[in-house]
Amino acid sequence: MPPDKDHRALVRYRVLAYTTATLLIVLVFAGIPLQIWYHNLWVVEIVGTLHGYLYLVYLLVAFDFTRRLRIPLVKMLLVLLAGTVPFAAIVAERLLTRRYANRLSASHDALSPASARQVK
Amino acid sequence: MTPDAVVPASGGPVTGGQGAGGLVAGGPVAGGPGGRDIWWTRRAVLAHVALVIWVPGCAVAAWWQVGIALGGDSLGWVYSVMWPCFAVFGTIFWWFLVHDDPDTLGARGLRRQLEAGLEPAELGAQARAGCGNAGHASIPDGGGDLLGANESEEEDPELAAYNAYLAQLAGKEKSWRAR
Repeated sequence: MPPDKDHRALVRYRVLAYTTATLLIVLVFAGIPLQIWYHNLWVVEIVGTLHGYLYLVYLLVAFDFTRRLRIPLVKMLLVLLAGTVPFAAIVAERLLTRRYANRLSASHDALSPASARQVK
Repeated sequence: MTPDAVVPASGGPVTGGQGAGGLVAGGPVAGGPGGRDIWWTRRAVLAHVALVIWVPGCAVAAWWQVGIALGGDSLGWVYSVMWPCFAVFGTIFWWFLVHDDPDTLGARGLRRQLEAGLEPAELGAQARAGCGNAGHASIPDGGGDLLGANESEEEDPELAAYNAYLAQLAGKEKSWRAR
C-alpha cells in the first residue's frame, strides 16, 4: 500500500473538487439567471462568496495532490483552472481519481507478486 | 511491517534497487542534482518571467475589484481578497518550479526513475536530498564495489550527492513497501 499521506491528499482533493464544482454549478445555472431575469441577488452573493473562498482552498489542495500524482505542469494548471469552469472540476476529478487508482494497481502488480499476497 | 512485505526488515538488498545501482552508476550522474545554478536554468527563467507578469497582473485585478466593491457590488470584496491570494499562490508555485529538480521530480522524474528501475520516492524529500547534504553516505547494499572505488579515489561531490540521494531512496523504498 502507498503511504497514507497520498490517500489523504486524494480525499481532500475529491471533497473540495465536488464542493467547488457544485457551488459553481449552482452559481452559474441558478444564481446568475436569477440575478439577470429576476434581479434576485442573494443566491449570487452567498454562493459566489462561498465558491470564491473555497476555490482558494481548492487551489492549494489540488496543487498538493497533482504534485503527488506527478501530473505534468500544463495539466496541473488545467486542473487548477477547472475549478472556475462549470463541470470541468468534476471531469478533472474523475480523470485524476482514475489515474491514482491506476498508479496503485500498477505499483501493486510490480511490487507484490501473488504469492506474497496469499501469506496473510 | 506487515507479513506480506517482500523485503526483509534488516536492510537486505532490494531487487529493483540493486539493479538500478549498477545502471545509475555509469549513467546520468552528470545531470544529477547539485552543482548547477537553479536560478538560471531555462525552466527557472521562464518561471521568473511568468511571475513578473502574474503578480502585477493580480495587483491590477485586485485594484479593479476594489473599485467594483466600492461601487456597491459586495461580490467585489470577495474578488479583491482573492486576487492577492492568487498572487501569493503564484509565488508559491514559482518557488516550487525553481527549486524542484525536474530530473527527479514530477512526470519526467518519474519516467526516468522507472526507466532506471528505481522506485520513485516521495516528493519534497528528494529535492532536499539533492540540494544539500552531499556528505559521506554511500549505497547501503549492493553495487558497493563499483561506487566504492569511485568514491575513494575521486570524491566527486556530485556523485556523493547522488549516493546520498540513492541511500535515501533505498530507505524510502522499504517504508513504502512495508505498509
